[in-house]
Amino acid sequence: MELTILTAILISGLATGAIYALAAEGLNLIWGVMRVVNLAHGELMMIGVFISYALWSVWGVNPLLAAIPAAAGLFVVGLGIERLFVRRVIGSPELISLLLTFGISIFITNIGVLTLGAEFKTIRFLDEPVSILGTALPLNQLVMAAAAIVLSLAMYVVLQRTRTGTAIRAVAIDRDMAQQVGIDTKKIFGRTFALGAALAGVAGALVTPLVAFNPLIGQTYILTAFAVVVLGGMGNFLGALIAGLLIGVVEAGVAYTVSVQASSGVVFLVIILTLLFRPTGILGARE
Amino acid sequence: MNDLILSARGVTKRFGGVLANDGVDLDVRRGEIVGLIGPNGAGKTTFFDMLCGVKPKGFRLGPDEGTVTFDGHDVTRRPAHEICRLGVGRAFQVVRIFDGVDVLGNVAVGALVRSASLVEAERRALEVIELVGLGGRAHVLASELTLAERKRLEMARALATQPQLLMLDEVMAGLTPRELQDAIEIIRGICARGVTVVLVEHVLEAVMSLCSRVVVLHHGRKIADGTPGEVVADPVVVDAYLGVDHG
Amino acid sequence: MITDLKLAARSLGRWGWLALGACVVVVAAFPHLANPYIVSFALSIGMYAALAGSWNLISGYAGYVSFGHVVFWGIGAYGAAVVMARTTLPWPVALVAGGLAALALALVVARPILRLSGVYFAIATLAIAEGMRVVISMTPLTGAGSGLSLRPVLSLHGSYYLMWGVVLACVATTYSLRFTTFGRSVVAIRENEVAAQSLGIDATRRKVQVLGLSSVFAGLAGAIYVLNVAFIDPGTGFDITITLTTIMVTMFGGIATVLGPVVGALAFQIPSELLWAQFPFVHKAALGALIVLIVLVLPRGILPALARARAWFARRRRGASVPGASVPGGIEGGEGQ
Repeated sequence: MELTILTAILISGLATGAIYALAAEGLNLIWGVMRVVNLAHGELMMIGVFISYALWSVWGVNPLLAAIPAAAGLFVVGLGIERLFVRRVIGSPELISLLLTFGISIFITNIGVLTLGAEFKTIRFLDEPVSILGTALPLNQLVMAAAAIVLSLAMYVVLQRTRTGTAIRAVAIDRDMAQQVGIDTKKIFGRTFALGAALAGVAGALVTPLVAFNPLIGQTYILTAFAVVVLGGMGNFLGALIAGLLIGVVEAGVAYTVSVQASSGVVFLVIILTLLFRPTGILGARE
Repeated sequence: MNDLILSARGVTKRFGGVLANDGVDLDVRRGEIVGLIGPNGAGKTTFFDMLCGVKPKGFRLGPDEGTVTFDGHDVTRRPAHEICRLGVGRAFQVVRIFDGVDVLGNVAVGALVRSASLVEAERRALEVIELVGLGGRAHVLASELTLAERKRLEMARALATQPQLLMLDEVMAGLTPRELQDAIEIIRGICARGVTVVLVEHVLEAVMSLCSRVVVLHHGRKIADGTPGEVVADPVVVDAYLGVDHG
Repeated sequence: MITDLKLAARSLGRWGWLALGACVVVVAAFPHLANPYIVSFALSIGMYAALAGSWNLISGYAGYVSFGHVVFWGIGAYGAAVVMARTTLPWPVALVAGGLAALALALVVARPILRLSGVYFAIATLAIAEGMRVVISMTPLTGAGSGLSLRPVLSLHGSYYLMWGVVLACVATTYSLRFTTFGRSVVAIRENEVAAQSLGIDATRRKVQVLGLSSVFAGLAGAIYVLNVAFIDPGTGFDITITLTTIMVTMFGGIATVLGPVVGALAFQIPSELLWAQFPFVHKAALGALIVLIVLVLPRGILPALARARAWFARRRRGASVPGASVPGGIEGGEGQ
């Protein structure tokens, strides 16, 4: 295969993969810490997309900046959802949370369609092609991917170095013991969910200039997010980053060599094959 | 050869870095009651899992090395349901009864393996229920039984499969002295009907009064094998329990 | 097996058979008494009753909760559609083909995915449904992305009778679970799979059988649907909302109960038709909200809640603490987690 095609696949794959990873980090966090499987995660991302879109259309705010209000907004939304609904199923079997968030997901999606319409929208931001290593890629893809990677790593640092981050990790490892050492697990659950939602919101804001979107976009991303979490190892932050990049590249490869339609089947294959052959993920579950 | 109902040779099992079973040999003759004892963490339940075909979560089925022969059949790495059909019944340490089902329903599941129909299975189940002294409780929901009754239900269910060899994992744990005596009688009764029994136990009184032979495991290795009197007096065994090195 | 089934039949008793007969008469007479719109609605209730009954088998009784159940319905629809659109065989062949197609899929995926449990199984089923959607939309034989149109074959009444026939078969099968070794084994697997295996139950084989059985009912429902509606495309055939509605209906009526699927279909579809079916997105949003409500408030469904209420009242009347009445075999009321 020609070198230029390979580089094109690699670069564009890594670019989309970085966003996948960021989108999945939130899901990973919530699952790993709270043992809650958030099927509504795609919809949280969708809200981020539309916050970004609204800010762009009304005030011309660029998506990179819009990521901040998106994060803040989703943080609040996350707190709300946790408080009202998720809190009641913590400690129940994971399937219950899957059903609950399934319902929330369908609700948000369809409210979205009702209020915002089902037509696809796009925004044009930094879409001039840039030549990198012999292939041409839109600048926005590179910029957003870079932002996604930076944010992922920043999140990792937050988890490792800050007090809240450490408390979150403690609760993930052993809930009861964390309580014994004085950690307010209720507050941590709220913050974790809110943080996860915020991450989804940011991913949404970043993805806005890259694709055509409508309120149904959440449904596309949720399966990808699951693929990332499963492949990277549930609860494993770095694993999710690597898995996201990998999936992005494989998808790009299939899209180029077979067809774009076939590439949407990659995610499904990743999930099935990982669950069958290495259910703990490539880097192993749990951080 | 006919005399030996179970023969394990060199059974070894590793869980990652932990060597749970290290070259364990065990011979059980028909009609015996063999006790398997050892400090916590000695590998007794793992050994049972290896003998009965129970797959430890996240690891492969059966021993990594060694062989297990039951009634002349090689059952190494065979799944639990096949081993049960060959004639091995198992009662688990942490009771695995079906909480949502009543006593009769629980035991009937055990009887299914040897019955052509559910009607027949329930009939056999009722007999077994009488045998273990749960006669009046046949229609009580399993979740509402006392601890002693739950242990007996676990035993009854395994008995219903009409085993030649019954593997009991700590069925005496947590019983009052009277319940203990009842349990000992029940097991004697089981043995009198021709079933060979291997029991893992911490309750020494049960081991001493029931077992014709005792095997001791420590850190995954067999450290003693003899009559109860011999084993209890064995300095190696005493050391293991008093913890010369804390495992 | 025969002894057990005879016992099952006898256990209904005089009143049971009478009630069953009455229901059959009502269902059979219904299309002649109502206008086509209502019959069509009754057909869709039947479809969800069949789907719910099918889902109930694998998720409620076996305890393997599926989030991709629409895939069997969709494959069933496609199986029938392909036969009708690409061959000149008569529609009964298409109907059977639909059922067989769903069964084939179930048998192919059963062993691998039934090794997983809980959430992982649910996600795997979700992935399979999505994967089938992609595969179907790329296959020319199945009409790729545009789907397949057939010449209309089944009349409204014909579809109605067939569908409710499937419902009857499913309910009868579910009822007889309590009385057969198969059913008891499956429930044992749900309650404690390791124990079941140690009692001689070949869990893998049983699980495959349940999934196969479940898939056939769903596949037949899909086949009847397409023979009536005469069109199927990947978006419809693998629509996640169908899975959601199925789960909702079963939960509403009572997971792991015999009549739950039918009760749920009636109790759920009728209000939702009156309230929101006119507005597709409102309908779906309400569906989402309802499942949240049900999960939080009534996770076991209407029938078990009613049974518990009845038992509670009975205890209060008797004035003493009577241990909860146990249902033979403990088959009813499992959470199916």
